[in-house]
Amino acid sequence: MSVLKITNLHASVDGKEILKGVNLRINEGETVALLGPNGHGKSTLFNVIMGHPKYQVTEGSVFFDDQDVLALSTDERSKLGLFLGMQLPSEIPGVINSDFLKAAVNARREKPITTYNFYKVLDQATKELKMPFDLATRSLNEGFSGGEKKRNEILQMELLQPKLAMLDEIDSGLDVDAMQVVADVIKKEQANGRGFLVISHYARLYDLINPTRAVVMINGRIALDGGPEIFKRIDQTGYEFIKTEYGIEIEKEDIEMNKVSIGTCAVKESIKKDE
Amino acid sequence: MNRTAISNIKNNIKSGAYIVDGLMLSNQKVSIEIEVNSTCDILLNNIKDILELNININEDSNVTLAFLSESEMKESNININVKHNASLVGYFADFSNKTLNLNCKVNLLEEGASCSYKVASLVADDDRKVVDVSIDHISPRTYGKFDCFGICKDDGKLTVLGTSHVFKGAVKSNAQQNCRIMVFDEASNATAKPILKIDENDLVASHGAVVGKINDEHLFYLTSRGISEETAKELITLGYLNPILEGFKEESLKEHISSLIERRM
Repeated sequence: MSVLKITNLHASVDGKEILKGVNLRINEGETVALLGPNGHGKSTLFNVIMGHPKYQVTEGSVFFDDQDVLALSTDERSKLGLFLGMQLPSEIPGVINSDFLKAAVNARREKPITTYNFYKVLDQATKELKMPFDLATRSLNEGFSGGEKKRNEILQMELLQPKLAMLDEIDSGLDVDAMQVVADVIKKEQANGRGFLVISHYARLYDLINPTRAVVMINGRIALDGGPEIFKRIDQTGYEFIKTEYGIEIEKEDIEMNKVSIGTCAVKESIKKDE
Repeated sequence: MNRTAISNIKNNIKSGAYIVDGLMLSNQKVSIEIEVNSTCDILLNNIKDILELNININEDSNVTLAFLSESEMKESNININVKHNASLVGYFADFSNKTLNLNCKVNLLEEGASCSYKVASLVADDDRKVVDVSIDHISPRTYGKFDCFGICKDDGKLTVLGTSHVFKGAVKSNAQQNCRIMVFDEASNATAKPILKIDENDLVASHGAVVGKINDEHLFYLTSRGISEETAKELITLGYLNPILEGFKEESLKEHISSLIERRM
C-alpha cells in the first residue's frame, strides 16, 4: 500500500525549528489539499520529505510504502515513488531538458529507453500539456516563463509516473487555460490511482481537481484535518476562524530584516559581525 | 565538413575550412596568414607539438579557431594579430591530463578589430594547469571578450590569468573578462586573476571571477527526479562546459569531447 505516514516530524533550517511535530497520513490514491499561511512550514514539509540538504530532521519519522524515507537518499526517495513539483524550479544552464528527462526516466529502468521510444513518449506528453516541443531541447528551465516552468514540472511527473505527487503552488504563474490543462492531467492521473498532496493559496485549482481532504498547517503542525469545505471557507474568510474557533494563535511570519541598510557602511557592519 | 590540411611552416590561406595537426609540424614555429576578406574555420589538434603558433587575420576577415587539447602540454605559445574590421572567435577545449601551460596573446591592432575567446578546462587527479589569455586593445573601437569555464576536482590545481589592456587612444573599445571555476573537492585548488589595464577614459570594461562549489539547489533538483548524485554532477558539468562545444562543427568531434569529459569525470 502506497501510504505516506508522517509521525511527530520536527525539522530545522540553520538551527531554527520550522516543523514542530507534524502528524499526517495520506492514503493511496487520495488527493489532499495542504493549506496554511505563508511561512508556516508547508514547503519545508515537502522539501524534508524529499531530502533537501538544507533541512535537518531532529525528530520523528516518515514512512512510504512501509519504507523509512528518511534513511534514503533523495534519488532513492524519487525512485520509491515520491515526486515534488517545485514552487521555484531551478534553472540549470547548459543541461538540456531532454537529456535530463531521459536520465531521469532511465534512472528507474534496468535497460535504458531507446531514443525513439523516449521521443515518442516525450512528444505525447508535451502535446498533452500543450507545450512547444522546443522546450525539450533548451537548457533546463533557463529562460522559461513562470508558466512554462510549472508545465515542465507536470511534464516530469507524467514521465516519471510517481505514486504520490507533492505539488507546491503548481498553479502560480499559470494563466486560466494553462491551469485547466494542468488540472486535466491531474484528473487523469487521479483516475489512474495516483495520490496528490497539493499546496495552493487559491480555491480555483482545488475546485478543478476536487481534493478528498484538506489539512491546514499552522505554526509547523497540522492544525486542522477535514473535508473539502475547509479550503472553501479559507478562500472566503481567511485563517481568522482558526484562532476564534480553535484557539490557535497564528504566529506571524518571521522575516529577518537586513541589518545593513542604505546609508550605513556595509563593510563596517560586516567587520563588527565577524568580531 | 571537409577540411584542407595545413602542413607547412608558413601558410597563406583564403576562405574555407582547415585543419592543423600539430604532429605534422612538431617543434616548428608555424605561421598562418589569412587573406583579406576571408571567412575561415580552422580546427587545431595536437597543438602541444607546435613550438609557436602565429596567426595574422587580415582586414575584413572572419575567423573561427577551435583548439582541442587532449594530452599533456608543457608550454604553448599562441600569438594572434587581428586587423581592421576583422574578427576572431576562438575556442580552446582543454581536457588533457597532467600539465597545461597555455599562453595566448591576441593583439587587436586596428580599428574595428574584435575577438571573443572561450576556454574550457577540466582539471582532475593531480593536474597542474595555467591558462593565460591576454588581449591588447591597441586601436579605437576594438572589442575583446574572454570567457573561461573551469572544473577543478581531486588534487588538481587550475590557475586562470588574463590581462586585457586598453591602450591610450583605443577609444570606444570594449573589454570584458569572465571567469567561472567550479570546485568539486576540498583538496582542489583554483585561482582566477582577470586583470584590466586601462590607459584610456572613453571605453567600456568589465571583469569578474567566481570560484565556487557545485550549486546544492541544482543537485537537489536533479536527484529529486531519481538521478544519482554522480550522474547529476556529470550532467551539470557537461552543461557547464557546454558553451565550448559550439566551436566544434563536426558532430563526431562534439561527441568525442563529451566522452573525454565523461572519462575524466
